[in-house]
Amino acid sequence: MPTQENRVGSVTNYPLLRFHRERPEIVRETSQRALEVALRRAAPEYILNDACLGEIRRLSESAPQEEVRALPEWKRLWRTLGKRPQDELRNELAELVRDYVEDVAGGFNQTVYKVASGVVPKALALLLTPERMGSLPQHLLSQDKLEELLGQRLQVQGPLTTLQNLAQRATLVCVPTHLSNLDSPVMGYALQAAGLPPTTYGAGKNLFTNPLLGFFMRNCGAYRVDRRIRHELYKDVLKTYSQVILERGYHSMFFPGGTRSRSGRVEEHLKLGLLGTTLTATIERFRRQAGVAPGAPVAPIYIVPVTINQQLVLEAETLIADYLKETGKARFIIDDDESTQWRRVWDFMRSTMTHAGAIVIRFGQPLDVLGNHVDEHGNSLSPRGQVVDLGRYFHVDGKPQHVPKRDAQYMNECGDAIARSYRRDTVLMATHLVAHVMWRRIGQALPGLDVYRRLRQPLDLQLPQADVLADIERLQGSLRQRGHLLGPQADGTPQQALDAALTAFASYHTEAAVTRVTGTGSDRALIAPGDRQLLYYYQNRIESLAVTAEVKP
Amino acid sequence: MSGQIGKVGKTVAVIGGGRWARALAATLVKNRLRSPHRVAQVLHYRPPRETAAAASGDEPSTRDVIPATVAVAGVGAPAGSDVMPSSASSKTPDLGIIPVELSDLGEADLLLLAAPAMAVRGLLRIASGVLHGGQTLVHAIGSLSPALPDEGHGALLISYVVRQETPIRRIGVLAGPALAPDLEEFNPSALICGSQYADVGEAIIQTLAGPSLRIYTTQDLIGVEVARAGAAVIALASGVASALDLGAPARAILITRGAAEMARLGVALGGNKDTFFGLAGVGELVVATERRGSADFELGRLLGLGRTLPDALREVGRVCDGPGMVRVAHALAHRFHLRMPLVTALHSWLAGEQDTRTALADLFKSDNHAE
Repeated sequence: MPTQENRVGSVTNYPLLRFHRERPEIVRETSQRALEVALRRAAPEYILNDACLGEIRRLSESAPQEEVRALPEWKRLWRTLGKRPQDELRNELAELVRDYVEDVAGGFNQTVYKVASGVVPKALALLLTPERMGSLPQHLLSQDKLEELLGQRLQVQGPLTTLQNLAQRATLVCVPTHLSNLDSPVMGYALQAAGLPPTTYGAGKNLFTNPLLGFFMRNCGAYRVDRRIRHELYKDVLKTYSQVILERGYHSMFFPGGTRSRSGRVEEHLKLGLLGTTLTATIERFRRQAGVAPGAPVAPIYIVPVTINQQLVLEAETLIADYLKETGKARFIIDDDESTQWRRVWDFMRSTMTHAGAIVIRFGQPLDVLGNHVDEHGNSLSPRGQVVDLGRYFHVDGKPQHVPKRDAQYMNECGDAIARSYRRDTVLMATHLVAHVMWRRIGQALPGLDVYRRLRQPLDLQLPQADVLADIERLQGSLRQRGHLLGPQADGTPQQALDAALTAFASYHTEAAVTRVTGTGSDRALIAPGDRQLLYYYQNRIESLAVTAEVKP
Repeated sequence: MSGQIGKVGKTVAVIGGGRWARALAATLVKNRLRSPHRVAQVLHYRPPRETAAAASGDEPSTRDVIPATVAVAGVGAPAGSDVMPSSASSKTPDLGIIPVELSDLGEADLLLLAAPAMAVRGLLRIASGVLHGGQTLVHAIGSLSPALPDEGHGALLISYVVRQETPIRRIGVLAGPALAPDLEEFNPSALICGSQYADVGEAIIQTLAGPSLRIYTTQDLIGVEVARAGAAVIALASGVASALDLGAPARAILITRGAAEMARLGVALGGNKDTFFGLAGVGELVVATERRGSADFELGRLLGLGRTLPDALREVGRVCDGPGMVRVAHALAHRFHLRMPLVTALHSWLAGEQDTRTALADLFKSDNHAE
């Protein structure tokens, strides 16, 4: 696989280095443009009214956590809305926008970044691999050894050379699949390992509540997204911020699934809001190029789909339990899961770091903002591989223009292209294979039942290991035949896949999803399902790939 | 008209040598004369026979049904209009239709594609070098395109072929009860344009709509394409029914049950059920089922009179989409487990598995069915 040899040393010159210097200017520009965007939609009193009502409702129902305005302030503002002159309301709105932008805008500190991206993972790697402790001094000295060790745990794949070249003269927007709160640090490591520059990214404000984590995130390019705030003005601020930093050439990262996949399925329906800023920034690029709009030149923007494939998922138990709750009761924001319990994070890290090939991060082929594939020179390609002129897609009467309805459909098609890329580039791990095989067997043992009953019906199922191995072999065959990618042990013999999955399951979760009942290695060993919800969760990864739209365009 | 979509007249290119293509061109010219700020220029590209033959060479699977020579045979229908003389292909730009070469197609803002389905892939592949993302393409093809051999299944929506072969994204389809003579003679009629891009429908309204032609728009591209292609099947069946003098009830059955069958197929392919009971579905079927003179209707009539398929095709001498579409619909019905009794009966009849009488019995027998 085209992986390790493509690694280069650390990237030394990247846009985020100038973020600290540019931050005041970015805040100013974002505030001004977000205000314009909002005012194009409605008059100040309507926008403020909408914001006030939304915030008063939210803050009356839930405890405040570091808010831009406290509940009494919102109430006071709302009461006076009808009585104040337009220019005063406009100033009030401008002030609110500026406060939101300040709250959202991230930071970047090179020293902190170096600590976080260099020392921390290496220290973890050392601490978490007890068998290597004997040769500790040697490892502390040997950077190569450490990287080798990490590289075994977290494999990075994809067209890395192309991406490295593109990163030199274009703005990259990484769009990874999302399963865990660890995904952003994992991506931070993966970018570095891939020889790619660090990116700015939006992270849930709830993740910043931990002072230590918050400090690191804030200084490593993260900006804050408060997903509890639902009113339009805040969305204007977020989108404008994203667009401004893209236009200024900052590499970015979005999780287009919007939130962690609750079911474990690969994302099919993507949230296009923030992703849409790649399109608006691109159209702005052509408008400036053509002299239709004023402003500094904008570099080309490319979208890089990334799949993060994990043998085990830290928050699996909480996420699947939430998914299986009655419709409507599932939570958009979960802030009390395993990722907030240090003990669980520690156990998880230990499990992950002691098993080779625990996480595979696979970068996909770069796309342009319409979802066209892009060659190594950054040219957009038609489905037949001909170079196409991207700028012409935005022409109206010979000039590049924003056309909201057209652009919304362009974005839908880009989202479809990303989802296709996810399906193509998802790497299936041993845990997924074994869980899928067991889930099918459960289906056979409890015929005609829906998912919920299959999860709850009493069941005494113990399968001869040989049967399970045969199932795994068949599954491997059909997945390979359909062109799906298999991860490190999943690609081995059925026995290797089974052993890897059983070891992984047993090493972290409260109750393993699948267990071996009698002694290992014996031909008479029996395999039994354990926590069926977990089993369902891990098998969903495969099931979501099985839905292939062969006829549908 | 939305102010965002073009403030200057559009250059429209009509692609196709058939009567439908000429009728569209005539409509455009009329609009250009009336308001040049809507239609600036009307270009007409007539694909040569070789294009179609070369294209169908890619898809051997359909050659047995529709001989390549028939595919682009000149339309010998009488030019029922004083506006559109039969010299459309002559080099004189009479009435403002400018005959162009393939390489000129890049000039157009809007492309109206009315070529035979089998020729579409070859045509677009050759043209793809000059086509670009700033263009809009709307096709008026009542059939599906044969799939490439490595794609493993029978047929593809024309819009999908356009996506595969060209850089164009803004793709639409025209359907509805309007016939070529209606457009040529400016009889009141209507068309519906399906596209996921709102500005495509707006471009069609800008260029084609007029006092005698209403344009409706919908986002359901797939639904309109399937409904339009399905009409060929129903037209074929209506021809058979007409040869056997089955009368109005048979026609009513063909329209309503035909629409229901095609709706099931359309939904399976990602379309919207409602589309099949609107202008593109029932609207087009009302016309198709009594359209004496249309290729598929004639083919059905000749088959109903006992001709063999090759004989009937030769006698009709025009592009017939019906038989190919019956095969495709039958394959898709099998694949998606859809109940399509009309298609099934036609299929076994065309395949020679049943004689006319049995097939007919099947066609109208079917199980009594609760909906």
